Amino acid sequence: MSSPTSLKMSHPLFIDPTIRRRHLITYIFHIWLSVLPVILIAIITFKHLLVLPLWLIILVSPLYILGLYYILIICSIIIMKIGIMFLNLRHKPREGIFARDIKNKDYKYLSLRNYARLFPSYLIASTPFPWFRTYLFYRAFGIKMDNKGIHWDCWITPEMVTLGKNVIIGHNSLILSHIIENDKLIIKRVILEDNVTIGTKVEIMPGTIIGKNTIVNGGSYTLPLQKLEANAVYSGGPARKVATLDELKIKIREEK
Amino acid sequence: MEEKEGTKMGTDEKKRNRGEELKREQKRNSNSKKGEAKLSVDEFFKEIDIKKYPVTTSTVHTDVYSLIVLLEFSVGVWLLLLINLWYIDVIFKEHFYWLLLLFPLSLYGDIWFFVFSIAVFAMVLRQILVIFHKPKEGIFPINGKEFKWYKLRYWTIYFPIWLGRALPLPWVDFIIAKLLGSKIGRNVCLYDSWMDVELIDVGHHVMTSLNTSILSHSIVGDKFIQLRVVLERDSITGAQSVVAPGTHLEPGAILGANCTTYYTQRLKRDLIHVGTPASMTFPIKASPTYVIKSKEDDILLKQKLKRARENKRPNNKENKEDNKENKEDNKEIKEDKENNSKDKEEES
Repeated sequence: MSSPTSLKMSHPLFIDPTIRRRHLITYIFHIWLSVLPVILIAIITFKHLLVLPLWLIILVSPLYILGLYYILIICSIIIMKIGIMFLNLRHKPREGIFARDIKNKDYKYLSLRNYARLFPSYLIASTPFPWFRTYLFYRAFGIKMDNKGIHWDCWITPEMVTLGKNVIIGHNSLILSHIIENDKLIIKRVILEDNVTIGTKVEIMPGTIIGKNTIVNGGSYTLPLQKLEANAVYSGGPARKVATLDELKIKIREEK
Repeated sequence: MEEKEGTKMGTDEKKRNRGEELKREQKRNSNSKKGEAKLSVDEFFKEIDIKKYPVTTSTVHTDVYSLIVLLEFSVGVWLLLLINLWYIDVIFKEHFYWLLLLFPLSLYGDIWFFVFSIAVFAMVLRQILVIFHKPKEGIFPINGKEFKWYKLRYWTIYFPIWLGRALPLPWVDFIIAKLLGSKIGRNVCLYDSWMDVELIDVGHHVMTSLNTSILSHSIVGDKFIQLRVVLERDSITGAQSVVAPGTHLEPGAILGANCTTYYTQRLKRDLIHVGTPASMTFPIKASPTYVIKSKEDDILLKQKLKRARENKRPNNKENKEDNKENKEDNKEIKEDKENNSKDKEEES
């Protein structure tokens, strides 16, 4: 229901500390550029608002504030998109296992991309408003997904993830497509097929492929490169097949 | 029921609880006659293995009902503006510029006013919804009435709880949860953990550790399950654990870190429960006065007490020898367990 607690403490987007220091000015510039149009629009429209009677101003004001808030998000996403486009021209993201070193190109460009995503993804994690979420945020980030799923109050890494139709992800769960193990960086695509439901507090590691209609029990996690069968119930850490859907007499919800 | 000395207070509380539960059941029965036909929980879980039944989420699609969030937000902003307009009028029309000194204080007050005005508004909305349709326990189809009402209540609760958890002070979310209808006792910790607001009873001195999630609703496939969760006094849920709908923690029960429970599980008093789903139990070592009900645990505790009496804290060298003896003792325990199980088989 609220922002997941895991996001309260630290962000799952990994950024190398040296890059964090070196590109701090560009990050501040990003925030400045995305706030600037909002202030300009507010100054221009505020004069026209003051002409109206006072009761109308008060009536309209919440929608006005909401509109400005959404404009801020759109501006930050547009700037992020442009930044990532230039980064991808130099070096395209790819799957594999890489060394955790700044001399490694994949590692360096991953942390640069994450730095570009930091401000808009912070805005996502802290929105109380559930509307336009899939249209504006996840799709704009480049995740392929359907609009009918449930996926707020959780963390989905904004690259190398494909979600099928009607995917339900519980609050407080993480879907990670890149992790760091000691001195190695692992990047691998995560695929969740149609009608997959994932419980609360589930961690899904890079490279997992979940078949159609499966249910993952709350509190469990998967291993990297694990494949989960279709029409089954998985639970435990690491996740093991407990039963099929027919044994437990579970029918998947029909799409409207 | 066997009870030892020193737990008389516990028995009294239990009796009271039992009385309350009976009353609740009567109420439920009276309600269920009026409403739609529902599956009874025992019948539903008779043919199915409960331990394997998955626990999912209590989150809901964004429907038309989610516009309630916009209504609550706008009510908060309207009230805020009305108060601040008066304040600004006083400053600029009557030239009391010294009042600008109070501006930071007013800004701080605005935040609290915004949060609590919305919380009170949501409370009123929820109470009106509850008058029309009381939340019932049980298993319902997802296209039915109960789920529709749940959606409405979900979106009324959503925004104030988000605000309460976004604020840094720890007691704000408690106040908001109490306003929105959950029963919470004295001296309860809730360290950044998620607790469903409805259908939850929390006793005194309960601790829910970091990142637990306590659910009283879950949506599995095309079924909507709504069962009451009871955390009695002094019970603890470990970090990263998941409490499924319908679990009952008896006083002093502990759920281990990173463990889950299954539907309608009862965690016994003064024992540590471990596993996904929780199946193993360990006694708490602190003092031997705790009451333990199962036979195996009784044998374990008696033997430990024997050892404590016989050894009387010998030197380190002797301790190593004692360890060997302990292993032998453990073998005896296993044999005892086997005997017990054989006895049960013979009885049956």
